[in-house]
Amino acid sequence: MNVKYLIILFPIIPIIWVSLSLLVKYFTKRDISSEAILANAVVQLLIGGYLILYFRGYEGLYNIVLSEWKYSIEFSFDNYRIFFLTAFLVPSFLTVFHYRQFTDYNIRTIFLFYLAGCSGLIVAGDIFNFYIFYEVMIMAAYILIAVNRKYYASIKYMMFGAVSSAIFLAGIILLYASGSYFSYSYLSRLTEYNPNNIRFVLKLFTIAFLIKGAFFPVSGWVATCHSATNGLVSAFLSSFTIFSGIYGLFYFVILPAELLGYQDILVFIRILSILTMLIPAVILFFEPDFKRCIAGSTVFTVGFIGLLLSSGAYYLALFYMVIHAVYKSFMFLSYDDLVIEKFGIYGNIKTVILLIAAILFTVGFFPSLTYFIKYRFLAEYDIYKLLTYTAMTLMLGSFFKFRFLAGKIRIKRWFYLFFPLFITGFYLLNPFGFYFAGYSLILDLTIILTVTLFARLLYDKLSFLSCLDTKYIYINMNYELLYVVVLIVSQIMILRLNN
Amino acid sequence: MILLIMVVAVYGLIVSDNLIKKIMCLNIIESSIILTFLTTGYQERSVAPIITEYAAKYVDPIPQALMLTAIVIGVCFNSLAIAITVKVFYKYRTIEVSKLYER
Repeated sequence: MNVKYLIILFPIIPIIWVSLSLLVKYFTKRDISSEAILANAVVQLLIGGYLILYFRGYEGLYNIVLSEWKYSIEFSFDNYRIFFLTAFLVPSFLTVFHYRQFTDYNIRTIFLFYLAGCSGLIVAGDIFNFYIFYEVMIMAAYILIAVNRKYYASIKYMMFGAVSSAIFLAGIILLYASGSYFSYSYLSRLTEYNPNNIRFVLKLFTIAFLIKGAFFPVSGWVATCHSATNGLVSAFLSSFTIFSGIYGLFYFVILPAELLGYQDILVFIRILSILTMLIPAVILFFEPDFKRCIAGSTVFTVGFIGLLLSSGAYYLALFYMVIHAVYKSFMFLSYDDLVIEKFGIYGNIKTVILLIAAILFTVGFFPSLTYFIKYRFLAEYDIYKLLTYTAMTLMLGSFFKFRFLAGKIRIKRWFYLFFPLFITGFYLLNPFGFYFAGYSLILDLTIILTVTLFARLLYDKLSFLSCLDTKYIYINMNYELLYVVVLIVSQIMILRLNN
Repeated sequence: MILLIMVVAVYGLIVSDNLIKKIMCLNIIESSIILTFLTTGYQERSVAPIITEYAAKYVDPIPQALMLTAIVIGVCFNSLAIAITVKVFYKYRTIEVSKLYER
């Protein structure tokens, strides 16, 4: 089949399954929504796999225009999107084993809509289409977050989602008023338009995607929202949905800013990325809830990926994002197999070993694959070394203040087999090599040992600072909404200073 | 004028404690953005973009077409937000943000 039709078909497949499920339910009263989720996962995995193989090493943008009109709906694909597609396919694969987590017919139907939004986002070829698919995805996510009756998390996510979408829409308007196309191919023609307008558009897009991607200071919703729902939805939210903010930031801000030489935007993202790594790491160190630590650690990863992207290390950042999808999905799905008593994490020996491995991947210490990515980046950008290591140490401490204990708990789950397989596959595929120096290895091992021994002790000693945990620091969403205004004002001030 | 409406709505969004008020403020922000887009297509003494032999000037149809989609999304958001607010009220017996977190 022509690849053009596969790209168009990709977001339509979940819609077909939803329609089929609704029709069967209406006419025969039979519920086939579970089978529809399973079938959808299999078909999307096959098509996604084909697209990855087809576009591997592809140069330029593969664009599909549905009509000759200037503002026609467009679909597109390129080499970078392989990574975003893979980050989506990882939890999709795990859906095959966990689709029964949804016990309600309506929620299963909403989940298929969510998948349609995610799929559309990957192949969208114009900005307005991107906006629509994002809204489809996030509307479904609002409902999926509330599946465990944690409605406050859902409403919080809703507020930040709506604010960021409003800012994004304002950017689209200004882009249109500047006379630009909406197509992704507009990037190559940006120099033709009014530079002041384009600069302001990029500023608006920056703020919108910084909120969607949960950058500091608007990252407080992640721990609340991602930990509120079931394992499978949490896996999708932290593997793909949060990175759709990074996806938008990369395509609509970083690439154009690089092209037009707007260094102030890149520096701004870089500074926020460093703060996104550091501040949530401090807050999570005082967080007593293990699931919130897992959810909040995504923000740390977002910060590091933002730093890589704004420094021009695109492939390193995207590869890191794909690995993150694997270990974060595993962490959320294995959470259900753990018994948690205050600071003790009990589980099957297999679960505990893999969980500790996933924590090392999250933080990026040796011998995890993320360590080699970090090492390669920090070898080139020495100035970030101290800040990165401080954030990594705090992040490791936030996990290792818990005590992991293995016991004879019987579990039989297929995904425990696939996590090591995936990770081995990524080790074999790693295109960036395995460079490391002896001193770096010694430093890493020393930090791991020190943190393992003293994290809990330090946590107890600093108990007077426990007011810094996520429950208190994000006490009222009004403060966090105020940060959005602070971001907008700061951007306008930077713009005025530049002019 | 649009800017003033937006500033008032943003202020309301930040300071109001009531979830329904917050949703209303978000609506106003979205409406002001939609209004901005529609004004970009406006031209003096022009008519709706329906081709007839009498009309010489038409307003730009693209903002109108795009904003129809944005309005639909806004309606979906409203209905969903209000539905979840009702659920919040049934569960916590309050819709004040400051009291919600205490539970």
